[in-house]
Amino acid sequence: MNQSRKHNKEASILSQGTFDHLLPQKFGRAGKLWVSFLAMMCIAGVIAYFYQLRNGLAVTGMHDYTSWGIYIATFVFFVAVSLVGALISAVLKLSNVSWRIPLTRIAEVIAVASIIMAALIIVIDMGRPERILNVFFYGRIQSPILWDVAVINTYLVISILMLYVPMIPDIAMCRDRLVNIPKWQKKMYRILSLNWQGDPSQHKRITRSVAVLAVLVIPVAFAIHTVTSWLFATTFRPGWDSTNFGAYFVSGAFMVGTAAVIVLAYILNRVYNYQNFITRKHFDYSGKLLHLLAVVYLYFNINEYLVPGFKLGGLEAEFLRDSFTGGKAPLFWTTQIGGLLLPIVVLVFKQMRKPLPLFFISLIVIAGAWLKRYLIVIPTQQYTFIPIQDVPVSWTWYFPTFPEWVITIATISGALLLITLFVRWFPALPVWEIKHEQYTQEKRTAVPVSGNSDGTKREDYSEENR
Amino acid sequence: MKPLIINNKLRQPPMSQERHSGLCLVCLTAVIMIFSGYSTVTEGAIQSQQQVDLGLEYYKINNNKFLSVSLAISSDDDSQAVPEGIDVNLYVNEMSQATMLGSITMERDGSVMFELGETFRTITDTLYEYRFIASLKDDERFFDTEARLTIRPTDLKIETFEDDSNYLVRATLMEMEATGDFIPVEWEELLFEVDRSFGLLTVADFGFTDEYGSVEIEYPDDIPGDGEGNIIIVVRLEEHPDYGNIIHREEVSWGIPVAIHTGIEEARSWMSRDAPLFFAIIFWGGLVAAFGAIGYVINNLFKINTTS
Repeated sequence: MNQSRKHNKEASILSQGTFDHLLPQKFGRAGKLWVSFLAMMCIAGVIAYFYQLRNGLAVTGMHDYTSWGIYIATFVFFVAVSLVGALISAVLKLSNVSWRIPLTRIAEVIAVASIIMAALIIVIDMGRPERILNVFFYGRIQSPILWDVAVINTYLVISILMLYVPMIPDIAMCRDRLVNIPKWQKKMYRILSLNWQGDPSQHKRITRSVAVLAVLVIPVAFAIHTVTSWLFATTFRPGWDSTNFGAYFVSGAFMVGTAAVIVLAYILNRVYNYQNFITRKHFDYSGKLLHLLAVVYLYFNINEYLVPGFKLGGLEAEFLRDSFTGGKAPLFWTTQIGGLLLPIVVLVFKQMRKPLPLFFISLIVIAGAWLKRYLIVIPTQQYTFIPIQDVPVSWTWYFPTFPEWVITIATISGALLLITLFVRWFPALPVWEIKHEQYTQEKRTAVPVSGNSDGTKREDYSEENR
Repeated sequence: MKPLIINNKLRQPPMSQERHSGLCLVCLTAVIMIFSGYSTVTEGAIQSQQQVDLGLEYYKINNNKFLSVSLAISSDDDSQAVPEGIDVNLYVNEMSQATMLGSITMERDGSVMFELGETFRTITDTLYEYRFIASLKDDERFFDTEARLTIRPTDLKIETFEDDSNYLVRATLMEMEATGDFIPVEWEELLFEVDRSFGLLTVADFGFTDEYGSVEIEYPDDIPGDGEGNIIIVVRLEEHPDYGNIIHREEVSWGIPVAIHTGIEEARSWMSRDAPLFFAIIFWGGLVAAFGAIGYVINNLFKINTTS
């Protein structure tokens, strides 16, 4: 009974409307322009895709040597970005890192949007997309591609649940507190809030579900990017034939995911004035996290290049020379310096962990991450074991064509559009969790007005009750 | 009947029915004749607009001789007709029943290889020159279309030598002269290749015959062969106007044996044939565990929804 009374009191306090401005708001002019721009990019991508579907993959730059182009590079990039959901929501949660709370939903929505686009771009890369069903009908479990399909689908389901389940109380808040919204939106909140009343049994179920998901998502998140790395590492190609690839990919993924969260957090702060919730402290801690992850990634980069560089065997030697001093050198060093060494050096300084500089550093990290995936996927395919003979020279090198660029940019725009629309209709910050955290902190620091008869402190909520 | 005068103009009386029918019949006959004549004319016109390209090439592969016959039919509007089913007669020296080598029926792709067998050997036993004729004379559509090819008999001999892991091939090209003797052919380019799965791999940039008709080429010692290390070397004279295509193929054991793994025990990967049982358990077990937990969460969502 006492426990139930305590929950009711907590629920009553939490329901009081000091956090209404965290609820979704209509877009202003800038928001509408942004959505229109993204929608146009997506439509252009759809048109380009139909052109590709009608004329075949011959409209792309892919030929006999390079059969995996920027679609696959972007797929690996999206999978990498999606890992941040596991990092922020699960790893930091299980480590009891409380400052992560305002960032969890941002991380989860980035994860969901990225993994959806990752799954989509694989289908786009197929010349015969209907054959995707063959993976399920005739799949061989020895195939790394089947492992990747299985783990991506599993991670997608888990990420959607990790986004949705903790959001149920917030959706209920939208259902109860938002007025002057269209009927369909009200109905959407009503359905998605699942009859949420703040009942203790409901709280208990939510808490248990989130705990289960937090534990489940970690091995799946590690698996998704490790398995994606095995698509490359289980071959003998120079540059791919490496036992280091799993850890190399996962560490890079955490880094780019963290950068993505920082970028989105900064934008939300500027647009919606969330400075009271995503404070400078959050950016400082995120910057430190990014710095740590960059150092770990640097370690795996050194492993990745130093070991084959020491041996310099066969085609591996040519590949490394081309990367370090040859045709790929400008792109390689831009990626390594801009996307890896720069954050390691500058994030040491507290000034650079302030929101604005950290935002720009994170943008550079994200751009460097995409270029890095380009360098991982494409140059290796130029080094073949059986050279092709008597064909046009253009068949032996690769550069993306205009349709490929349009489609790739459209998928990135699609991910941004999903995130934007989410922010439009759902709270971008976990309101219920923020309130709960604040309430818990206030409980810890509250000064008792008078003690109980048994000598224990009586907690006072007079400030909230006023 | 009297002529009818209307408005001071003489108007001929209308025709009788008999005359009307007769006139219709004449008109109809004329129309039929015109159209049949038209179709004849147009058919002839269509024929005259078609271009028929009948080609003939000579091949000698080791000691077997072939004629390659190609037929292409194109119109002025650049359309191509399929030559399938058209018969081509082959002769040597002259077009007569006695010198007829045989008749072939063209395939859909417009080419056929015809082996020159016993009949050819009998006819050309003492000849120092082969004059091949391909004719479409029997086909009314391609009247008088024929192709002619004159070939001088040649002989391409191959000798192989192994010397301290150096593999040498000496090719000698000889042609038959009028006396029936073979004389060396000088300054002709021979191609030295190795037969691969999807084509021929060139191993020498050029090989021109000397005054003895010979050229010697060294073959590399690192060419992958079959399971026993055998490769097929190919020496050929390509598209010569007098000699045709002369090809000599010979199997030698100069290749690197390539081990072909057939048994599971010899497989390079423990994933190659059947997935190991422990892996199948891990894969499906992992999926069941993950989706079992997902099911638990979804079940909780249902219970949240049904809480009153």
